Order: sequence, then C-alpha cells, then structure tokens
Amino acid sequence: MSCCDQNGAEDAAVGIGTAAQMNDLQDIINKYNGVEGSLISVLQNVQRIYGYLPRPALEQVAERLGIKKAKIYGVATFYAQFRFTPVGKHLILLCQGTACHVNGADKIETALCDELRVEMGETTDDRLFTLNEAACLGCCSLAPVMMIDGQAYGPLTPDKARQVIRDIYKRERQSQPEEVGA
Amino acid sequence: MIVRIGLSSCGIAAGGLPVWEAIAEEIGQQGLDWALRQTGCIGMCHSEPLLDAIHPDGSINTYGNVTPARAREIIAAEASGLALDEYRIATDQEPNECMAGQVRVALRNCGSINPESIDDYINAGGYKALRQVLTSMSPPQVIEEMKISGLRGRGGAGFPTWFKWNATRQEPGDIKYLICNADEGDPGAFMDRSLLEGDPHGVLEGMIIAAYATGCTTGIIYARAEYPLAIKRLEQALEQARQQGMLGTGIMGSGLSFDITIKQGAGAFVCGEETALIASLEGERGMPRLKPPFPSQKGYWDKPSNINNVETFANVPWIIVNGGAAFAAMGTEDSKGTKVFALAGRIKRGGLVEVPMGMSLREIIYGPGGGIKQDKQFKAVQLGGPSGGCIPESLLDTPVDYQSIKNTGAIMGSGGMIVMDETTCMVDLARYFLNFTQDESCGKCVPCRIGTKRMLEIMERICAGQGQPGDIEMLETLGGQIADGSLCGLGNSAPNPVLTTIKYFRSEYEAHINDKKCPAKQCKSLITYHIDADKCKGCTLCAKKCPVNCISGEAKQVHVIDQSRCTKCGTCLEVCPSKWAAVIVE
Amino acid sequence: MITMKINDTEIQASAGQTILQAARAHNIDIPTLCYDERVKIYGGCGICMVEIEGLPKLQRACATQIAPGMQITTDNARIRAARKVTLELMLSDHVGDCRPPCVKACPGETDCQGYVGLIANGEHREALKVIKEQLPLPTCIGLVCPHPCETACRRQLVDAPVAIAALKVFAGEFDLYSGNPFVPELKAPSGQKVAIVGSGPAGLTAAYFLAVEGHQITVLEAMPQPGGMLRYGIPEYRLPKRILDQEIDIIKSMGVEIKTNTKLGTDISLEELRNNFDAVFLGIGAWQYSKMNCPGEDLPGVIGGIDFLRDVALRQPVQLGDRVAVIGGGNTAMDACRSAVRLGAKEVMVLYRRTREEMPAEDLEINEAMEEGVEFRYLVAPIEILADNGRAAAIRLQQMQLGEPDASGRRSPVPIPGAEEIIAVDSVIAAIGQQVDMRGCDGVEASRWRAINIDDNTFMTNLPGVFAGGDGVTGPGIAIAAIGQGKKAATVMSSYLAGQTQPFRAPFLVEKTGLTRADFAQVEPGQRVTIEAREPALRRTDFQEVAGRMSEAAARQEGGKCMECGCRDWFECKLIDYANQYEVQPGYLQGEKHRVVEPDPHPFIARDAAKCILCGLCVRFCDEYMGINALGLVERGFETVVEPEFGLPLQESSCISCGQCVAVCPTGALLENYPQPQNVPVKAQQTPTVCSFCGLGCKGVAESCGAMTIRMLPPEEGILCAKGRFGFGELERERLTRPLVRKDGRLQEVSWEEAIATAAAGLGRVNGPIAITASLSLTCEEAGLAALLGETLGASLLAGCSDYPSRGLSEVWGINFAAPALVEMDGAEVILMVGSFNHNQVLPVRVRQAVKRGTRLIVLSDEPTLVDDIAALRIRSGNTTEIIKQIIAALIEERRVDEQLIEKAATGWVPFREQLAAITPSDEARQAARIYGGSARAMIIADGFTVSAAGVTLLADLAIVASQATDLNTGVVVINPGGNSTGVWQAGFSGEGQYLVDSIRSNEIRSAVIIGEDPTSAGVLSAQDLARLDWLVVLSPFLTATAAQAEVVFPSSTPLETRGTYISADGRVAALNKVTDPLAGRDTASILVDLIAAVDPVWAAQPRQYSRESISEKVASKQPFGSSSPDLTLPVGQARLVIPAPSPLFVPPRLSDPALIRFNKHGI
Repeated sequence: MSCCDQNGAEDAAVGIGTAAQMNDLQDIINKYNGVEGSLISVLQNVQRIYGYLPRPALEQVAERLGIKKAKIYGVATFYAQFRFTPVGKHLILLCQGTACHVNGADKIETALCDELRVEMGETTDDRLFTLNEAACLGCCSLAPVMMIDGQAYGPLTPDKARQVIRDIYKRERQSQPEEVGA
Repeated sequence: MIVRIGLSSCGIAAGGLPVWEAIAEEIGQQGLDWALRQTGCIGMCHSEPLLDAIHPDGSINTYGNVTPARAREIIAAEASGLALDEYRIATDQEPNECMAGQVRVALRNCGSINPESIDDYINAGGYKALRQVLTSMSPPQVIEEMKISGLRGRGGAGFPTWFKWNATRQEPGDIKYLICNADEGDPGAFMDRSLLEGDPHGVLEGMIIAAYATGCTTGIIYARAEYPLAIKRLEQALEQARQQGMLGTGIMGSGLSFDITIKQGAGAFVCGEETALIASLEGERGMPRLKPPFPSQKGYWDKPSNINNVETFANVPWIIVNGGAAFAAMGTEDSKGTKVFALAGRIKRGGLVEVPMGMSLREIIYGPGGGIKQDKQFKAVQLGGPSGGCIPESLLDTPVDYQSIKNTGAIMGSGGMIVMDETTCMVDLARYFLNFTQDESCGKCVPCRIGTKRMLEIMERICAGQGQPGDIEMLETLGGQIADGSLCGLGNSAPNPVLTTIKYFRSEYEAHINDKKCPAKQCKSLITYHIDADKCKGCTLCAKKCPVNCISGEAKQVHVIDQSRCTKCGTCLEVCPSKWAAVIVE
Repeated sequence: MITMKINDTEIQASAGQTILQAARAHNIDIPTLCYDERVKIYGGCGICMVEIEGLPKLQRACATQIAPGMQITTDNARIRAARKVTLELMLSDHVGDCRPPCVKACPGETDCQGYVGLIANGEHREALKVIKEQLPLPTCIGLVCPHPCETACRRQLVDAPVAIAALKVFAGEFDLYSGNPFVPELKAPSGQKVAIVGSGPAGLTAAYFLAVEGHQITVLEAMPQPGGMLRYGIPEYRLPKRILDQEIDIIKSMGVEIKTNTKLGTDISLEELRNNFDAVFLGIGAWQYSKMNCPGEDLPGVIGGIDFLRDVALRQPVQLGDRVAVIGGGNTAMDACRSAVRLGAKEVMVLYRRTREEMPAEDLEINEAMEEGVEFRYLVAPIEILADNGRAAAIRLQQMQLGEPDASGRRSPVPIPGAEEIIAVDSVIAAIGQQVDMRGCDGVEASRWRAINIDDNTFMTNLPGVFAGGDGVTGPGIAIAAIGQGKKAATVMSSYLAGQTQPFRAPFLVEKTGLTRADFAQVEPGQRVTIEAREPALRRTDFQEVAGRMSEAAARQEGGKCMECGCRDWFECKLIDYANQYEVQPGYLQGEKHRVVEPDPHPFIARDAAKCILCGLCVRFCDEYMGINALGLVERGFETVVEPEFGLPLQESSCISCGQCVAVCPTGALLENYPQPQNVPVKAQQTPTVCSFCGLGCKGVAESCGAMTIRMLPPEEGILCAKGRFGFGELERERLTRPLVRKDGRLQEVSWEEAIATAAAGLGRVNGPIAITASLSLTCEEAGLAALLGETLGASLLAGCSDYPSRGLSEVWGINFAAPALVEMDGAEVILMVGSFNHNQVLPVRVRQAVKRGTRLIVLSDEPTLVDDIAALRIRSGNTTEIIKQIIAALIEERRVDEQLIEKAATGWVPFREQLAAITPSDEARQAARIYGGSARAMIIADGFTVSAAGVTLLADLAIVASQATDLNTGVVVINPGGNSTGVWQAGFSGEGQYLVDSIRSNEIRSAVIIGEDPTSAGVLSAQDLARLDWLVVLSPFLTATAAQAEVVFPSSTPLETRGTYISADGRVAALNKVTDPLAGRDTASILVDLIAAVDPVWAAQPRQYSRESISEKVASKQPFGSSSPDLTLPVGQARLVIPAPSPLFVPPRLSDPALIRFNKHGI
C-alpha cells in the first residue's frame, strides 16, 4: 500500500504519496492551471488520486493555481463528497433518501454498524470498509439501498445487507489473505 | 430477435448485470443469432431487472424480476418460440397496468432505445427537432412555440420556461451560458437520473435548441457526482453528438456554435438552487446569494445565464416536433403538458410514471402506482421532497397541477412522490425531512442555519417522548419566521414538511407530546416490544437474532424481552414467524 | 433620482441604491449585523428586514434595490417580531458572558471586573471612576459589604475568589488620599429640585446621581450627622467614620445640601416636600428593631440591637453590666456583641436558635467575634426575660433542634419539648431583625411587610413624584442593595423630571453556565492576598479599625488574578445592543451550541468562535477588501465556523495582523488583545490621531483609559496595517519614568533638574563638534526644537539614524518628498509599485482598490506582495537598480519620450541619455516601459522600508523621462519609515546616518544628543562607536541599548503622548493628537526646551526674558510650513537627471525607531 494511509503532516515530510500519485497530481494541476473556477474539479481529482484530500497536496494546489488556502479549505469542507482522512478500501454509502427512510433504512444502518463494528462515518480497523451516508442514491424504487464502490444494492433487509458485507470479506480473504485482520 | 435488458442504475441495482451476463452466455452457448441490447429505465422499477424479447415482427414480450436462472428459462422458451407466461408482465399489445394513464413525452425514449447509441436516438426521431429549428425557425419563433406550449420549469418552482429563455435572450452581451441543472437532490426523486441514463440525447437536443433560442454560447451540465452512470452516458452522448456535428462550430451546417461540458457537483443539496449552483460552478462554496440580480442578468461569471432542469430540456424536442399546441392540449389551464413522477415509499409499483397534469393524486397512486404495499391503509403522500409537504387522504382527489398542490401546503417540486401508509409516523417523517434540510443548509443566513436546527431539536424531542405542551405552537411560529426570513428557497421551504404535517396530522403530534405515544409505532422511545405469552411457541428465533441478547427463554418455552436492555430495533418482530405473530408492539 | 416613501415620508434617493443605503442617507436606521459598504452584499444576518407595500414577504433592506414609488416600512410590529426571532436564534447559539458573575451578583451592578482589572493595570484612579459610576461611597462599601461579588467569583474554581471588596477599599482610599479626589462632572443645572429623605446609602446614592444630572438636591436627615446605617448601624471598628465623612464631603462638594436633625413628619411634612420640590425620594431605612415577642422584653436592660449600636455611635452611655446576651445570628448581632466586648462587658454571648451553619452573619465577622472572646451558643431561643429588681437579670431559654428546611432552604429550628434552661445576664441585646418605621410618610401606601410600597420598575410610590428605595422599601438588607436601588431610582427620577418616565429594565445578558473546576484547569493557582487584622487582644479594648490594608503591589497582583469572565466587547457589541432594543427572550430556544475552538495564540487577535454569529464580515473583508483570505468559512450549515486555513492558528496562516477582521466584527468573536496585563472592558476615551510608523499618514482612533492606550482603531471606513493597529503596544511597555544620570559608571535615577543640569554641563564642557539625531517619528515641533538645540549648541551635524531612501528624490528634485497625494492613486491609469510594502500593508490594499476601479498595476519586488494576484506585470529585480535603468532605456529606445518636455523640466538630459545608451532592456523592462510609458497618468510608489535611495533617484528620473512628472510634483511617492520623515528633514535633519557613523569613527564628532532613536539596536552605531564619544545624551521613552551607553537619559514622550504636526510622504499635514499624558510627566518638547534654556548663555544671563513659550515661538517661526499646508510646487526646470552609482535596488531595512524594532520581534 502507498503512504496515503498516513495523515497530512507525515505526507509533507515524505512527499505526497507514491511517485505515480505525485505525477498524477502534477498532471491535474497543469491541466487546470489558468482555468478559472475549477477548484471543485481539482479537488475531485485530488481525491480520486489519494482517496482523500491530503493537506500537502492542497497546499501545492494553492501555490500552483494561486488559490487562497482558506478558500480551498472552505470549499473542501462545504461539500459532502470531500474527505480529509483516508477511507477504507471499500466505501459503503447507505442511502438516506425518503423512500429508504420509510422503508426502514435505520434498521439497515443498525445491521451494518453491528456487522462492521463501526459507527456511521467510521472506517473498520482493518481499513477494509468505510461506512458513510448518502443523501439519496436515486434508486428509490429499490429502497432501502446502499452503494458499495459504485454498485447499488437493494432492496435490502438487515440480513441481506450483512450478507453483502460478508461476501466482500470472503472475496477479500481469498484474494489477499494476509491483509485481513492486519 | 432482440433481447433488451434495462440497465439503468435501478436495473443494475436490482441485479441486471448478472442477468445480462447469463443471457449473453446463454445466447452464445445456444448459438442463437440474437442481438443483446441495453436500454434505460422504462419506469417499472418495481419489476427490475426487466427483459424485453423483441421479435422480428415487432411484437414484444416483457419479463420482470428476472434473475440469471429465470433468464435462461426465458431464453430457452423464447428460443422455442414460446413466451414464458410465468414471468411475463406485459406485451406490446397488453402493456403492464402500470402504464395505464401514462403519456410519455419526456420519457418517450426511456426504456426503448439504447441510451448509449446516438443512432438509436436518431432512428427514434431524435435531432429532428433541432434540424427543424435550425432550418426553419428564428430564435423568437422557438421562444414563441415554447410560450404556446405553456411549459413550466420542471425543477420545482414552475417558472415559465419561455420567459426565462426570453429574458436571457434580451440581455446584451456576446457571452451567455446555458446551464442544465442535473443536481437532482430531493431524496426520493430520480426522474432526472432516469432521463439522463435512459435518453441522454433527448436532454442534449433540448439544450442545443435552447442555446439557439437564447443565444447562449456555452453549455454546462451540473450533474450530481452520485450519478456516475448518468455522467458516463452523458459523456458518451456528448462525444457522439460532437462527432455527428450536433455540437461544436456550425451545428448541422447552420451558423450555430455551441458546446457542452459536464461539471460534477460535490454533494450539496443547496446547489440545486440557481445562485448556489452558479457559485459551485465557479468553484466556490455553494452558498446562495440574493436575487436580483437574476442569473439571466448576472449569472455564471456575471454573464447572462439560463438555467433549466433536465426534464424541462427533455420536453423541448417533443414540443418542437409536435408543436406547442399539442403539448398545451394536455394538462390543465395553468399547468400544461405532462409531468414525470417518481413513485416511491409504501407503494406497490414504485417507479417512474409520466402522466398529464391534472390527473388526481388518487388516480396516480392507485392507477400506475398500483396502490399501497400489502394493501395497507393509505395515510399521506409527500410531494416536493424536503421542500414540499404531506397531503392527507382527504385531499387525495386533488388534481396534480402547480396551483392545486400549492393550495394544500405542499409544492409540485421536481416530482418525487413518496407514499406513506399507517406504518409511517408523520412526526418522524417531518423530523426526517427537517433533518435533511438542516443538514444541507449552507449556513449563510440565520433563520435557516439556526432556525432549522432549533426546529429539528424540538422535533427530536417530540419523537423521543420529551415533547412539551406548546411545542407545536413554537414549531408553527418558528416555521413561519424561517419561511419568511430565509435567504433562499431551501430555507423558505424547509419548514413545509413540519407545517403541513401539523396541519393535517396534528393529532399525531399531540399523541407524541401529550400521551407519549407514537400511533404508527415507529418512534423507538415511545414504543415497547413484548412477547405475547399466549402466542409464543418458544421457537428461539427471536432470542437468536436479537442483536443485544436481551431475549431469554428456553426452547419451547415462552420467551421474555428484558425491557431494560431492549434497543427497540424490531428484529424480534421481523423474525417472529407470521403464523405465530407473538411479538407485539405497543 | 428616485422618489419613494420610507415610513410614510417621501424621500429622494439615487437610483441603484439599496433600501438600506437610501434609508441611511436619510438618517433612518435599519439594524444590520452583516452589512459593510466596502464588501459585497451578503444578506446573512437577516435582521434588516423591512416591509414593502405590495410584497407579501419581508425583504432584506441591505439587498433590495429601491424603485420609484416604493413604499417601505422600516419598523412595525411584524418587522420587530421577525427581527426579534432572528436575534433570538442568533443568541441561542451565542455562548459567552456579556457581564462577569461578580457584576451580575452585585445588587449595585458595580463593574468589579472593570475596576479590579484597572487596578491590576495600575490605573487606580480610573478604577475609582468606574466604581463611582455605580456608587458614591467606594471605600465605605468596600469595608462593610459582604461582597456577593466574591461569592460569585469564578476564581474560586481555581483557588480563591479575587479580593474584590478589599480592592474597592484600595481604589477608594487611593483616591481619597490622592490630594485630588475624583468629583464627577455635573451636567448643566436643570432648574429642578429634589428632596431626599434619609442620608443613608440609598439616599446618598440617589443624591449623588441626581446631582450629576444637574438637579438641585436637598437631603433631610433626622440624625445629627449624615450616613444613616453606615454611621449608626456599623461600628467604628469596621467603618471609621472619618472615611464616611470624607466620602460624604465629596457628595456635598457637588452642591448637595444635607440638612441634619430634620425628621420627616416631625420637622417637615411629606406634603411640604411635595409642594416645594419637583420630586421626593424616600430613603428612610429600617430603624425599628424587631421584637422577640417574649415576656419581659420591655424590661430595662433589654435593648434592641440597632438601638444599641446607634447609642454607641452617638457616644451615649449604655449600661450593659458584665454579662451580655445578644440574641440573633446576623451581622447586627455580630456588631452588637463585638461592640459590647469593646465597651468592657466581661462575658458576651451570642444566642442563636439554629447552628453555626445557618448563621447569616459573615464568616469573617463570626470568626473575629470569637477571637475577641464572644461565646456562641446555638440551638437556643429566649422564651422569657426574667427580672430582678425591675431589671433584666436572666433569660429562660428553650433548647431547639433542627427540623425540615423551610422556604428559604434553611432548616428551621423546632423546640425540644421540656428542654429549657435559665442563664443569668445583666443585659440583653435583641438583634433578630429590623422593621421600617413609616411614621411621617403620610399618604404613602405600605406593602404587605409594612414597608414602603413601590412600583418595581419605576421606584415610584402611590404618590406621584414620590419615589423610594433602600431598606425602607425592602426591609433590612445590605448597603450595596440600597445603593443599587438609589442609583436605579435616580435614573428613573431623572427621566420623570425630564417629562417621560422610563422604567428600569434589567438588560438581557448572555450567560455561560455550568462551569466547573475543569474549565479552568489551565489557570495557574495563586494565593489570595491576606489582609492583616489587628491583634484580637488589642482590638477588643477599643473601637479602632480592625481591618488592615494591602499595598499597591499586592493590590495589582490581586487584581491580576481576575480571569476576565465578562465579554470585552460589552461596551460596543452590536448584538447585545440590538438584543436589548428588541427585548429578546431567547430562553425558549435551548439547544446545541456551536462547538468552541481552542483559544488562538495570536499575539494581537483573540478569536472566540462561540460568540461568532457568522455574519461573515471578517471573512469577506479579509478576502475581498484586504485580498488576504486568511480566514474562511469552514464546514456548512449549523456546523459552519470561521477559521484560518486548514484550521491552523491564525499566526501560522496568511494573516497579516491588520486586525481589520476585529474592527468589523459586530460581536466579541474577534477582539484585540490589549498591551496591558489585564484586558479590561472599559468605556474608553477616543482620540483621533495619526499613525507614527510610516509616512503614509494613516488616520487612526486611539482608545485610552487613564494613562493606558488600549487600542488603536482604524477610522470609520478606513484601514490600518499591523503596525498602525498594534504597534502602539510597543510604546506602552517597559517605559522609563525617571531621568537617569551615569554615576560611578552606572545609570541612576535623578531629579529632572539634576538631569538637565548634568546634560547641559556635559554638552557645554565637551570640546568639539556635536551631532544631534532625530527620530523620524518626532513631530515638526519637536524636530524644530531639536534643531534649535543644535543651533544653540553650535552642532555641526543634524542627522537621522534611520535609512531614509526618499533622500534619493532630493538628488533629482532638491526636495525629499513629492506632492501627488496618495488619493490620486485612485485615478491613476497605471501604478508602478516598487518594493513589497510588506512593512506597511495599507498601501497594497489601497492599490487593490485602485485596480478594482481599473488601474493597471506593475509590481517590481523580490518578495511576494499582497497584490501579486492582480498585477498586470510582475517583475523580480534580481536586486539591482539595473532594472529601472532598463525600463528608462526601453522608453528611450522605443521612442516613448518627449525630449522637449524633458528638457523643459530638467537639466542633464543629454548626458543622462548617453549614459543609458549601452543598456539593452530585457523583455520585462520593455513590457513595463510600454505599460508605464503608454499611460497618460502613471504613478510610482516606492517602499521606503526596502528600496534604496539610489533606486529612488532612478525612479524620479523615470518619472521625468516618461513625462509622468512634467510639473515635477507628481509621479513618485516614497513611503519612508517613521511618521514624519518629511517634517524632520524639513526641520534640518537631512544628514545621512552613514555620515554620522563615519564622523564618529573618525573622531570628528565628540558628543551627541540622540533623540528618540536606538541606532545601536538598529545596527547603525555599535556600542563601541558610542563609547568613542565624550558625552552622549539620549532622549528615549525606553532604556534602549543606545540609552544604556549614555551619560544622561531623559524619559521622553512617545507619539501617543505628544500633540503636534506630521507631514506625510505625500506632503499632507496631519495633526498628531495627545492620547495620554506623558508617562514620565514631561514630554519631549518640554525636555528640549529645558535643555535649550540650560545651554543657552542668553538664558543664563537673563532668565526672565526667556520663557518656554518664547522658545516655542522661535521654533514655530522656523518651522518648515508653519501650521498651514505647505506650498508643494517646485519651480519648473529645476530638476536634475542623475544616474546614481550602481547599487542594490532593495536594501534590508535598518530601523532605528525602538518601537519598530520591538514590534518586529513579533514576526508579523
């Protein structure tokens, strides 16, 4: 794994991520240099590279694109999409839409929290899963729904939700046995 | 023979991809000379994954709730020239009953064409309207046609589309922007997603026509990042359109030059508000600013900007081809044409429907919607998402048009229609919506930032059984002040769900506050789970499943819930076999 | 113009204005917390709502443009309701203490935090003034008050409450013995008369505050002397009556007439008073002791507690006998028993029906009584006084036990049936309570508890114009409570006398609750000051005062323990102002409050997110106006907070410490840290003045309190940089207060006379040339005096030790400043900014405003600047003057010069041109030449903190060559360090620092007078250099490294302590105002005058003809510009085009201003 697991301060000391990540970052900065109003797109790309927004990367964005740091920080904290800490390998988005709510999304949440032994918004100790909320995934007719790594699952029951997680765990164990429980 | 699978997000979520793979494999193994196609969402989301078997003679068998195993059966049957009635839910001759009463204008291509193919779109009559406009209509004529159609903005506010277009057109300046608001944020609404996934070119064509009419030079689609498939298909469609000369310089050989880029939102509901959307496009925090100046005067980069939502644009080509009058012939006096609704909640046939304006709520819910799940008692329908309100059964015959809906205290909104039955607690629902808007408040103005927070705290208190006399009145007062004093539509409408539920379901509030009871048995703090000793057979299921192990009892003995440890998760109720129904909620 | 109506009045306003602007233009106030004309409209606070006819919803006045025929209402019930709810919402998430717990606990609302802090800062007289805003008897109250303030003091969560009462005594006595006790200013006589019945705390207080309002006051007192209970109820050993007399004398000195021995109802009737006065205040007290209701009570030998104390005070004989029983457990009982001890009773016992725990008397009183030998018996109640020989001889006591708590929460005593005892006594003092004696108050309605009945808010009785307060209303209470009533009643009475009675309304206050020890874990525990009491054995024999006093040092230390609970913004918070205007009651909106951010360690700015209302002004100002964007909005919705980038401490962000965020903050969320040890919220004195740190001549408003300057504020609609805003703090710290003369090799404090004589003798004695150097922040007058001193001494060199680049201008123009007013920047087409201006950042901000209006900007700087982002061209020099030559060469090469014009303006054109012929301009130089030379109105601004004199010379050349300075008084402005470099130069101090150094090193200069500079710390003159001098006199506010080398050091005044004239870099004359008195008692000018007089032989011969005034006149006649504006035009054709020797363009600044040297240590 790359050093993107570390927090921002340490990144500064060791450079920002792997060489490939640093290259990607430069590419993004070059691509948007001089393009006004592109901050959100830049942040989305930085997050795509690192899985979150490492502070040194943002500082570089500020310097190179001439955007004030307070503005970057303000924008990054405004939008729900942006994170300042790395997420787990799999990002679970549990839909909080109305249809999901009236169809028992809270029970799915209870089940997922119990299965993963985390609270909403947290990452499992093995860094495999991060459980987050999503305002609405737009799959209301399949409520309740969750999305893992871009794939939607629904309609869920607590048991079904647990099963999805267990299946991913199983796959993980098969592919990289040494990682689980590390 | 063509096999067509619905692969919108909903289809995929319901398991469409394994079905696709199974069929591909099956066709290959059987050596069938069949084409496998994908299409967008036809609206019957309740029956996804959907499979259409399109025969050379044009007849179609539609199968629902297809699994890979069923798909193989269906292929086998179809290969032998038979239909598999067991899974068939419709044919071209006998459409599914959910289609009853529907008139498809915006959704005209959804579920029939391959959204990833511009040729499919053109074959279905696509880009005809654009050619017509470019070759035989002046921009004022286009705007006039829109005026005749009576099309109003489908994003929520219902502002006449022609008026906006005209305003932008009238503004001086060489650079004007055309923005498509695809930041569909209402929880419970997915019309725009389905349109973008199912018929992206329909939206693009509408935009190009609008650009011609308004004099806009650059188009931007502001799309939710939560809609990856829609964005992917839009990108494909843009590329195809450029290649075919529908975008770029000199479109279709005319003097029109226009191109479109996609900008992704980053997760802020408030960015559905025009001025916040513009701030977001400019890379700022999505905080609304005061109007005027309106975006048509000073919008993106302070240039005149026209903003319409996805569904509005999707209607445009149809109106041009069929004439504004044809559109205006449908619907009511002040709300013309059709409207797409997303049916969800406690409804049998959740999905997308498009009906003429003026159809009553009852007709929609019990017609295409098929009524209430498990035939329970209808309680209310929520329109307009978190900005809207709840309409009770007594008003079910309200015709769906802008004004009639507004009169109930709700709003038309973008078209989310969430149906609630007796198991829905209206207080909890209002709390839910308020929680949403509170969470999505940008924080700029005081009434919205702190007011919704305080209202939410009162709502939470009520749901937790700590309501106090006077709370309802305080909610009404605060709600009124927030609606009046907030800076943008989000705050103006945030109290609506609370105010309408108080209006129509005051007794539920009173039960929570005065009797500490939740009539719908949803508010955890106000309910308890018991095991009926007479009914319990000691199957141990509940004890095994209880996540906090608070149920005790030997096998074949009556089980007991330890109330002090019970978290009221409801698992016991769920797992208790229905034949015994020993778990009771009070 | 648009015609419209606001509040039914037709008004004309300019089109394009908002409703708020139009209303303000017509003096109609619309409240707002987020609007500032200088930044974009925001609309966040939502309290500027107004009603517009025809629109169903209220509209934001700040954002709604006016339209013809608009009918606007700015205030009605609906609008008020909306504003009220919005304010209540804001307040529901506003955490803080508007006022500290001590003030809230004080029934007299004494500003304890204010005076305690002022004492800590050494401002004892200011402390006294603060106390006297609430009460006229500070020392008396300090001595007798049971100090509820201390009971509420949060310091006890750390160690012990601050000794607030004792500090009040300190402040009171400091004033009384100052020789010039404070007497408040009285308003013009109102012509109205008020009678006050009773001269106790309530009556005297009412008299004092009504007198301040200009009313004529007559106090009627039944007793022979004024003071009421303070005189007759409190024994001498607690409150020496001479102190009471002194404080009453001050009240009398305000014109208050006190008629003693005049009893209401006996000597004068209430009706007479009502007929002869415009209002009456009844402060009659509660003078009747409560009966014990037991048989034998009326026997001789039984006396009421208050009667006893009164008799003692009147020195009337009291027959007590040996055994005295005092019944009761309150403070009167303590006063009685301790007085009885002092009168010689052998055995004094206090009989109390509950236990020590429930005793209402002060602990200190009880303890001191015990020390004095008083015996305490608990759980006993008298049931009969037994007689012997017709005189009380014994008490039959019922023994009690404690039962259930009563309404007051105290456990009530219950008799133990049958348990009785009899004790022998010689006299009994009944001190169980007092009652009001309303005889004489004819027609005044009594309350249920048989006191005077008043309206709680107006203090008026049922009789119109008759007010009342104090014990006569409340029954017996503590003095400060009576004072509080007297003050409030006086305020209401004044409004009544003015014709419109304004009832008292307790202000709404935001309060922090639920604080625990843990909240103050970071506070270092200390020791509460101990106030020594006299030895018990000694004090029980006489009535001399028991309590000791604390020293000034102890008082300052004790005051320094105040934890400053109350909000520093109290006196200017807009939020609380509106909250009270709109009578908010946000109690119903309890809920989650904003998360609180850790305190920011910034040296000058304090941030408190819990008080932030998110009006966004700080963020918007920092970004839009200043161009900094150090603060930003973070998160969203309810979670939104204002934070520096990435949540860093402010000092680690891009903050430039201009403090503008603080200036625009409407609440206490952003505050200045004061330079003094305690940050005391005070009603400060405001003095408009001018900043002394650079030649920009920025106006500012200095806030002071006593001798402290606490803040420097930007003027309304103006800005200051970090130095202007916070640099003054360096003028406040570690000051010299006494003249010093070197004796036995060591500087020692001496008298002014000795120092002057020594300095003059030394200067007269030394053989050889003398140099005088003057600080660039001296006023013209001071510089003139310094020059006169030089003339008198025959000095050979007048110089300045600071780097002084604008001398480069004089090479070309003969004068060292230019006349294009900086305001012309706004109209300039092009600005060439040379140097970073990171030392005076007001300028780049003004450049930003100009660029916003369309000016093109060229930045020539090696350092990053605040305006890099808006520069049309950004050049780094490589740090030689070559770049400017290149620009000139490019102008010539590209034929952008008008030779005729140049030759008309200046000499030396041809050789000048030839010298530049060999230069090949760089692309950047050509670009700059095109922008600068191609403009009709271009202006050069040079940073005098970093640009070299040679660079400035070339810039002047450039301006002439480009014909941007055709009339020779436009084109280049150099902003030098020091507020008055232009004026000091004009006074004759044109010598270069380096020349001074060389002259000292070559022994050409033998002695020097260095005024206001610290060349040693600046690195201009080393200690060795100074050691070469035979005689060095230094005038400096601080003991600087330079001063440490001197033979004589005079503690001179700072620019804050000086009145005089400054001339800014662009030649404007500005008035420097005196903010505070010179700390050392003398200002620089008076020291110089004395020195001149001391060294001038004429003075020596004819001292009488030579006064200070005549010296000042002499200076005035020599002053460069007198007092009027100078004529700044130069005759055409006198400029010389010169090319200076090659040198670096940017030179690191050597600043010899000691305040700047110190300020730079903050790293700002």
